[in-house]
Amino acid sequence: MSEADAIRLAQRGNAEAFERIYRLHNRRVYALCLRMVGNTAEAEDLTQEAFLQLFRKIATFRGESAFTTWLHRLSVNVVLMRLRRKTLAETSLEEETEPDEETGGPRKDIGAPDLLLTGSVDRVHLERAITQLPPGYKSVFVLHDIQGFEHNEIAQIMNCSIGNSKSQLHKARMRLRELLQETLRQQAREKRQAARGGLATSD
Amino acid sequence: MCDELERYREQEPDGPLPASIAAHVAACTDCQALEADFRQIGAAALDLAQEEVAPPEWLWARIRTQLESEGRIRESEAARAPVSAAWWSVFQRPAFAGAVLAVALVAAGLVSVSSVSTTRIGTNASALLEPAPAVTAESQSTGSLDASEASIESLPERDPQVAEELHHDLGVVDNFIAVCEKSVREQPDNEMAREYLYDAYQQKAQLLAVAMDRRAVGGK
Repeated sequence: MSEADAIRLAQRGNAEAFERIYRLHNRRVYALCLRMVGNTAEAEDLTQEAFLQLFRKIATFRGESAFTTWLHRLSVNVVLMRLRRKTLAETSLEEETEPDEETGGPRKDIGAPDLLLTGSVDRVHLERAITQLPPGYKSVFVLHDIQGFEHNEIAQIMNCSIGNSKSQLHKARMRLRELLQETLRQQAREKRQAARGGLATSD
Repeated sequence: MCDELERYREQEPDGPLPASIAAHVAACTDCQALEADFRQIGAAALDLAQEEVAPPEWLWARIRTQLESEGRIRESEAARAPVSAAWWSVFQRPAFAGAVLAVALVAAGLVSVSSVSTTRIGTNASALLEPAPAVTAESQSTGSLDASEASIESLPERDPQVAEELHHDLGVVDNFIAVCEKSVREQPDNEMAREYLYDAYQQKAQLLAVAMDRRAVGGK
């Protein structure tokens, strides 16, 4: 069954069509949710919610945009709604690091230049750093750098301009760089402390 | 100049730098570090993208259950339709020519058996050639085939196993004919149902023809 046929049949309530659509897109939606929230239980919950909303609204899909774009817009909205309802800790971080998404200028303190990341960034570190990004930056970074969407698609998904998508992506990368440098500094500190501890015991 | 790189990247996060900015980057270790770090982050992100992530299998079951409880899922057409109708969806070929062949085969096989049976088959051949609106025409044809089958009961068989297989196959075909006849009775205007019924008669006629051939050989 092609996607177009599945959509048409799903709009009439066909069970196999619903499942076909789910099988075609579940991995991508789940990956998006997982990268955004950082834990599997919540990602499963959000994936379920995204597909439920999709199937409840599928009758309204008229084909003006690509189905994938429509689905991802829905998924991102589900995730952002959940993140906005979250606790103070995340809200504070957002206010601290994203004073004004629209007009905030480039940060001057872009990290110690002597802490080059080259060779130090692996996906584990990056995954951890992504969870600390503000939701707006996180969405654009995940959609572009991980899921491979182009800026024109992200603009439709996030309901923003292409220019805004590009700007958010740059800021996301800058913030990730800071977070990863902080991780490196922390690791360097721990190594020094471990080395001092070793010297003390040998004395 | 470092600010210029930042401002440019804010508008164009990827892609080559304009010549003036590229020249600055070539001479500035801070800007080189920034570009290198961005490449590292991009590479790690691609690595993340390759990671196989999939939701657990039970998630679809949960979604489906919820959709059913909301009345948003209707069972598929195939699930609602009677079992016999499912046969029709598999085959899409007309069987009128086959019905004619069936009549010819049966008629040829029955010449040496019984003149009464042949007459009845011959009488009904014209009915089979045209799409009969009522089931009665099919019933007459079936009756003729049944007569042929009855005549087989008395046919000597040198191989009992073959005879057993033949009777088994006839039983299968008879069941199929019964299903098709029921469908035609329930939906007399359904051309597809009628075609499958003719096809079923054809299969029976072919089986009988095989039996007749064996009889002819055995009779020598």
